[in-house]
Amino acid sequence: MPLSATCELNDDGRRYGSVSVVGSVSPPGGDLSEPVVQNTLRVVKVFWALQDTLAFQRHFPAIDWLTSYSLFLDKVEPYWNANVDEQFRARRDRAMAILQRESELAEIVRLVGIEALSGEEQVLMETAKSLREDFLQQNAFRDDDQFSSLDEQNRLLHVILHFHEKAVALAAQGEPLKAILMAPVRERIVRAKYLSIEEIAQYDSILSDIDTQLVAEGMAAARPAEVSA
Amino acid sequence: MAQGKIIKVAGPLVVADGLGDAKMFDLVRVGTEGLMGEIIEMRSDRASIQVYEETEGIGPGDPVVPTGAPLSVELGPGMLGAVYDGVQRPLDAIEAIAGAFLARGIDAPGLDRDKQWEFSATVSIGTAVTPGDIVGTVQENEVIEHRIMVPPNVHGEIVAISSGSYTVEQPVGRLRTPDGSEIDLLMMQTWPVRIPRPFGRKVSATEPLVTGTRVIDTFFPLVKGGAGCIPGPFGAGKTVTQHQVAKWSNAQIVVFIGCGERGNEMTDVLMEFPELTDPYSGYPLMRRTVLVANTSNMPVAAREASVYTGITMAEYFRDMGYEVVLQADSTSRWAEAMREISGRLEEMPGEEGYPAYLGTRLAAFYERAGKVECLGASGGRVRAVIGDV
Repeated sequence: MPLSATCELNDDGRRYGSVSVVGSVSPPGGDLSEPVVQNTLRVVKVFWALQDTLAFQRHFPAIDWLTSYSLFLDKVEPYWNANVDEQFRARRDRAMAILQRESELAEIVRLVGIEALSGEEQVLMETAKSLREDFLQQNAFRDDDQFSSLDEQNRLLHVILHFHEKAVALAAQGEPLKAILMAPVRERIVRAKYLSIEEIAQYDSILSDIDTQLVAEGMAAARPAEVSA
Repeated sequence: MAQGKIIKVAGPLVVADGLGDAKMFDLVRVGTEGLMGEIIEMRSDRASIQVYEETEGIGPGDPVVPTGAPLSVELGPGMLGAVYDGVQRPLDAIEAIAGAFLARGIDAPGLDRDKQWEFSATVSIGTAVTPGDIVGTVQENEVIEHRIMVPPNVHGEIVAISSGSYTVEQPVGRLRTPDGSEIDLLMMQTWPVRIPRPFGRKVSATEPLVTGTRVIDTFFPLVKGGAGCIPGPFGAGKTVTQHQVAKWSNAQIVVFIGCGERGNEMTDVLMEFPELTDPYSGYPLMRRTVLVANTSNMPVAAREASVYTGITMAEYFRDMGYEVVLQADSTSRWAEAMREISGRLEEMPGEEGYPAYLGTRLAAFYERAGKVECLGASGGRVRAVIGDV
């Protein structure tokens, strides 16, 4: 991608420039109710909540998806629709909903175990895990992972959510969960974030893999392999 | 202007009388060493001054000389790649004069006076120009083209302009104002840091600032011209996140303000930024970066000013038509600097001892972010594309 520092000019030759500000705050004791943080949050529209608990779990970047927010979503949506994908916003919201549902269900799982959840809910827990590990986590020190273009982000999200929808549908039909989650395509989903921009077509082949592997009969075919393993 | 006399010294705060001619936020020279200070309160001819250097050895009776001008920064070619302190003294030039730690009373201009820049004019003699018009360009380095603009509050007709090699103090041309007087056009302009630079109008920011970090771009996007906040608990990876934004964001200029953080943290930035390679151009990231550093052992009053110094520089690049991302680390230390000065002024404290105007100051700072239609025309060029590598 070339850096073309282009003056954005409109018809009468006017030019546009912008200053974006990212201010960090270091509240004593991590107390977000202290005056500097509160006064800052009153004027800024984006909050990236870095959490040390996430950092201890080696989840990087340690930006907490449940407390962070951006009030610019509606503003960037037209840009996303025009330049990324018309489904991008919907996918983003769907993924966010899954992550929020996960935190609600996590409570139940802690108390009575994952078996207490329905098949669909267990799939959701798996998808949320996949979102966390295969999408949110990013390695700033790996050349093939430190930068993800919007196009790649959209495709990666699509792949994860597509698997989720297929898996939920199968779980609803009574297909055993273990077989669904053993589908070989999951391995490809895990590795998808390391795909370079040149390998972008691979996302489509992962999508078609999901379609071929996650069918009711396909599961039956996959099962013997699982037994032998 | 009349010289004043110190009557009280309290840490970075000095009170002097006999300064009836001075104005609020004027810059003054304190004591025999001529320490830099700024008036932050006036009562009749008595002024309270925050001094940007240590006040050790200053006492009542010492002189205070007003300069009649507010605290300003010099804007022009030579800012990129530089490391400044909170009042735009270039730290490498200071080190050459005084060694590794800041000594007092040292002054060095923000822009190198000896360096020659290759100026190429983009307007011709006889052109009528208004504030913000681009009159020429300087290829400051491999990556960034510096656009020389008519300073705000000046307009008229170009009577002389020529391409060639100039220092920032040599006029590249002359301009006749409507009242008939002639003004030299310099590549350098100065601007008071506490006043936002003028622009045409604010426009709605709709384009995301792409950082390449999935959790930011997809889930919590920032727009170009937006303001965001990031808390930094110890060890949570704040520095890496900042580096990622600086390195990968699709902005052209990065201004990094290291405000009141520990010296070793600032050292990290100073050591690592020059080593980061700009992924878009292949050149070191410093080619499009300005660093403003005021570590926790540097004078507290300069910390208060550093944030304004940084954002004024950012606005200057914005006025050229660039997308700038400014990172301030950390605004909490800035607020603590305000609290310290406010305490010395014996102002009524607000919540947790912070001054009552904390919210106003924070809001005024973040309001200087934004996407704008810049003042002035672009020197007859339909489209200016630079640094395509």
